[in-house]
Formats: sequence, C-alpha cells, structure tokens
Amino acid sequence: MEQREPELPLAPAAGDGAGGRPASRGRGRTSLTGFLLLPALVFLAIFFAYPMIDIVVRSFADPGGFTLAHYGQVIEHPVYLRVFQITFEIAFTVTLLTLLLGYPLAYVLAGAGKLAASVIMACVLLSFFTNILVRTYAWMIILGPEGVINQLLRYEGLGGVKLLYNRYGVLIGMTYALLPYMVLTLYSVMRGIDRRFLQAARNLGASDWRAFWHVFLPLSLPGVVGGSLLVFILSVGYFITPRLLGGARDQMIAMVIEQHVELGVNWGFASALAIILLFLTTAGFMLYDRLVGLKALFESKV
Amino acid sequence: MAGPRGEGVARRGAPVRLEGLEKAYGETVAVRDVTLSVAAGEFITLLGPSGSGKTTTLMMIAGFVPESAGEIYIDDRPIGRVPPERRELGMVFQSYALFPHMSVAENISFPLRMRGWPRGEIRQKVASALEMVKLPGYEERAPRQLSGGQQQRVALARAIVFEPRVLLMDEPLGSLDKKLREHMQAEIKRIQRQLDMTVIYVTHDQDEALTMSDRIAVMHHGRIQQVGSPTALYDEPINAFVADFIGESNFLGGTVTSVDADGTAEVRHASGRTFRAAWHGSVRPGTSVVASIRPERLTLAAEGAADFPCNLWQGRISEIIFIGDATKYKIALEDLILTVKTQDRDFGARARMGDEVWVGWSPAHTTLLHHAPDP
Repeated sequence: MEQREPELPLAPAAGDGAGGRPASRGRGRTSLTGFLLLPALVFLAIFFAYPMIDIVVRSFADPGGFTLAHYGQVIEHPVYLRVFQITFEIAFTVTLLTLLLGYPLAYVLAGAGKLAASVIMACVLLSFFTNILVRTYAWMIILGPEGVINQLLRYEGLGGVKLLYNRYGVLIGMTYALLPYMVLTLYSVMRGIDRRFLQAARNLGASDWRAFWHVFLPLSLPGVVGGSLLVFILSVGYFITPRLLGGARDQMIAMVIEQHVELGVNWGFASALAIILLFLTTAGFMLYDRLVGLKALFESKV
Repeated sequence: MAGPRGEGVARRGAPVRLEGLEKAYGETVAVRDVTLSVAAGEFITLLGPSGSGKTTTLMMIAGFVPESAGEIYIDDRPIGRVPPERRELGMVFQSYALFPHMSVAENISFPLRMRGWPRGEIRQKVASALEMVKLPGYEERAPRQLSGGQQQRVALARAIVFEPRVLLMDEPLGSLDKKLREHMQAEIKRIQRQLDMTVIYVTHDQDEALTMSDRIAVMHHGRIQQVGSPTALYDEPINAFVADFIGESNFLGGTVTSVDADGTAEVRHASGRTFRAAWHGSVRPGTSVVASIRPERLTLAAEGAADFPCNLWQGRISEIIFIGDATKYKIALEDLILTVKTQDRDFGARARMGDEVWVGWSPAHTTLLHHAPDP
C-alpha cells in the first residue's frame, strides 16, 4: 500500500532535499523495477554467477587447499600459450573476414527495396535455422579432398587444394557460421542512418564514394564495433567448427579445456584455462576501449 | 548560347527554368507538366498541401529524384544529366540533415573541403558564414548540443557557404515554434538579399509563403494551379482551390444575369438573391460562375444604412469567434453561411448570438472564378 502512493507525479521529495528531486517516487519505481528483474536475477545467480565463482575457486584449489599450480602449469608448458595465441589469431582473422564480407552485404541489405531485402535477409537467416553440426558436416563434404571444390579444380586441370583439417577449413567454417551475427548487427545500425545525410552530402558536392566515406562509414562505425565485438567474443570460445574442420595445429582453447574435462578429468586445470581466457579477453576489450572507445556503441544518434 | 555574365560582374542568382516537368511512380503521377520560370535573384515559393508534388519538384531540381519527362535549366543550361554534386545548388533540408558525427565547423566546411579549398580560406569562410547566421564562435559545438533554431542556422550556413547561385529550401522552418519561425523568415530574407541568391522555397504554410515570396506557385494534385505575386494570388485567385488555400474565402455560386458597361456584372445566387461583382474578360449573361469574397471584405451592421456597399444581404449571427486582433462571425442566411472577419470592436461589444444583422460588400472585392475549379 505504502509503495503505491509515491507514484503520484507530484509527490514531494521526502527527506532528500536535493533540489526537490522526487526521491520517494524514484524509490517506488525502483522497487517495481527490482520486482520485474527478480526472475532473471535469480536465474543468473543460480546458473551463471554460482558456476562462475565455482570455476574461479576450482582454478585455485587442489585436494590440499589453495594452490597456484594450475596457473603455473599453463606458464610452464609453452604449448598452452601457443593455444591461446592460435585462439586469438583465429578469432581476430574470423572477425576481420566477417567484417569484410558482412559490411557490403549489410550495406546492400539496408539500401535494398522491400522484396530484395527480404530475400537477402532470408538467405542470411536460413543458415541460422539449420543445426550447426549439420552445417559443419556440409562444409566437410564441400571442402574435402573429394569435395565439390576439389572436383571442380581438377576438372579445370588445376591441382587440388587442401581445405580440410587445417587453418583454411577452420576460417571458412567459422566465418560462415558467424557471418549472420556481423550482418545483423551492421544492418540494424545502417538501417537507422537517415538517407538524407547522404543526399545532403551529395548536394554539398561529395561524389557517391566520398559521401559514403565521409558520412555513411563514420555513422556506421557503432555497427562495426558492435558486430566485431560480438563475433570476436563468440569466436574465442568456438568449439564444434574448429574441432571438425581443423587439424592438430588449429587447436583452440575451448577444445583443450574440453579434453581436460572429458579425458583428464582435471577440473582445476580446465578452470584455470577458462579464467585466463576470460582475463585476456576482458583485458583486450579494456585496451580496445582505451584506443577506440566503446562509447561509440552506446552513443545515441542526433 | 553563353549568358551575358561578364568578367568582374558580381556573382548573383541564376535563373531557373522548369519545362514540362513530370514525375510518375508507376501509375501514380506525383508531378505533372510543371512549367515555371524563376528569374535570377527571385524568391519563389512552391506552396501546396502535402502530396501536392511540391517537394518532389524540389527533389528533381536537386537531382535526387529523376524526372520522368521534361527538363530543368539552371542559368539556361539543361541539368538533367548532371549529378547532384555538380549542380552547385545550396539546399536546406526539412530535418536539417546536419552530420551528427561532425562539429558545426566541420559541417559548414564540408562543401568547401569537397571542393578542395585551402585550409586557411576554409576557416575564414566558416567564420564569416557563422557570422552571417548570427552564431559566431559556435565552431566546435556538436549539432546535438544546439537548439532547433540554432541547427536551422547552421544548416543555412552550410548551404550558403560555397556561394551557390540557387538555394533550395524544403520546409526549413516546419519544426520551429511560431515566434522563432517568424524571426527566421526575416533572417532568411535578409541573407537572400545580401547574397542575391535565387531561392526556391517549399512550404505548406500560406502565411510563410505570403510574407517571404516575390512570387508563389500554388500546387495541387501535382500541377501548378496559379503563379503570381502574393497580392495577385490573394486578390485575384483563379480558382476555388487557390482562393481557399491562400487565406479564407466565402464562395457564392450563381449565374450571370446581366453585364454592365461600368465593369460590373449581376449574378443571381442559387438562393435567388442577386449580387454585383467586378468582371474581367469574358463574362456573358448565362455563364455559371463562382464568386470569392474574403471574410475581411465583408462588413457588418446592425441596421441597413445608406452609405453601405451595394451588395447587402440580411442574416443572423450564428457563431462568434474571438481571435485576438479580429473577431470572426458566422452569419447564417436561410441556406448559406458567410464568414465575416472584422476588427470593429464597437460592433463586437453589442453583437449577440442570434442578432439580425446586415452583411455588405463591394463588387470590387468580389472575384469571379471559373465555375469548375480543378478538383
């Protein structure tokens, strides 16, 4: 009962004398907000926060109590640092490739007529509707030594290429799988760019290309930043595609973690790897924020 | 044929000519057969309700909408095949279209940078453009930090900084409040006179068109209905649409019964009453006409008097609307209602709803229109 009353818009500031700010009303709003958020918060607490804390604890624990041995093991064996390096290399390359492929696609999509846009959108989304495992197996058939690409190349009298169980396979498969995330993020930003800005640029003497370069591209940067972040984060933890399409030299960190959990039953070490990955990714973003500024992502348009 | 513009002659507005301009989107025709000659340095307004084709016409001039037929000439040169960036037209958009990621200075210098001007000159030019729109020192602000009126000024500065000879304006004052709008109207006129530009201005606001324009082209259903000076359009509208769109009007339909040598004609209204109207050109007895009388041209009196104008009808006050500087009365006759606008506060002090009054007006203020105005 008490909480309903402060919702009156003219309820005077209670206690808090700071410029007559309607503090009581704010409190009423807050309790309602809190109530609405409760289910999600409980869910996150049980299924995200608790496991997260558990992983941190395990990474420092052994039967005898506190230990730094798991982290020491990572530093001792250069192979693990190498895996981290490969993981970030692949994630970075995939981000770049999806951006290069996705930007023009999103640009066309944002400027296309209704019919063309829905056809392109359907093509982009179709891959979402298919199971990832099925899609990856399809790539194995296409890329394999007897696959479509190699058959075509041989038919043309060119030698075959090895596209499966190596870095190429991983990059192709992951770029394919993550492209929709990039396209959709870019598209949502590009669609919000008022075409009149481009008209104004043309009217003021900019050619088609310069209008794009000076006006459209800068205005689409929040989409570039957002899409790249999303793809990078997803890439770093990618598992199925590199597992099926990659070779022994393309082991990504998620695969190593899986091995230690499944085969070694070494929870502590697997946890340490996960925490290091989290730490490196977070540190990377903080650096990126310093250099580029993630603010652009959330900045509102005029 | 080269224009007569010699060396050393001050740059001034360029003439613009539209010839048989047409725009069709599939079956729907947005603009049909628009022909219009705009003199160098003239301020012309395309006035019409939404959907009348005025903005489409402007977009064709700017080069954003390809014309279906016809040609546009600027300075007597056809520009149909010239891309927008090489038409050298200044333009102020309805939403201003200020680049949100650029400062005020970067916005205004944009057209100069695109033309490869040297840095020092650009800085000077930007400063003087800001001076002209009365925003000196605003260079480093971001557009979103400015009020609507200030954004409007920056958009104007950006459109004139490269000294275009023709300035296009698409409802530039639409989102400003009334006071600010009136102020900006005066500012735009001042700048136009100072730079001696040709201005093609689009608006749906008749007051704005009347106060600012040298000439007005009234558009409706994609066609130009009438072109003329504000006074010509107001006093001699050629059809009911123009008479109704520019200002308010009373329309009386009837048949001409006699035409006199003194330049007046007698018209019998559908109700059987007669009135006299000044006539121009070909009016013969038996012709169906519509007469337009402006509400402020009608006078009201409690009793008929000898010094009253010759058209004198009697009715009852059915509505009194006080609008500040004047009062509007709706006078009900048996089968029609006349609107009268008067500043006579003495009459207003005595007038009551339902009072019997006389409505009088002069034949000179009774404009005969074609009977069938363009729908």
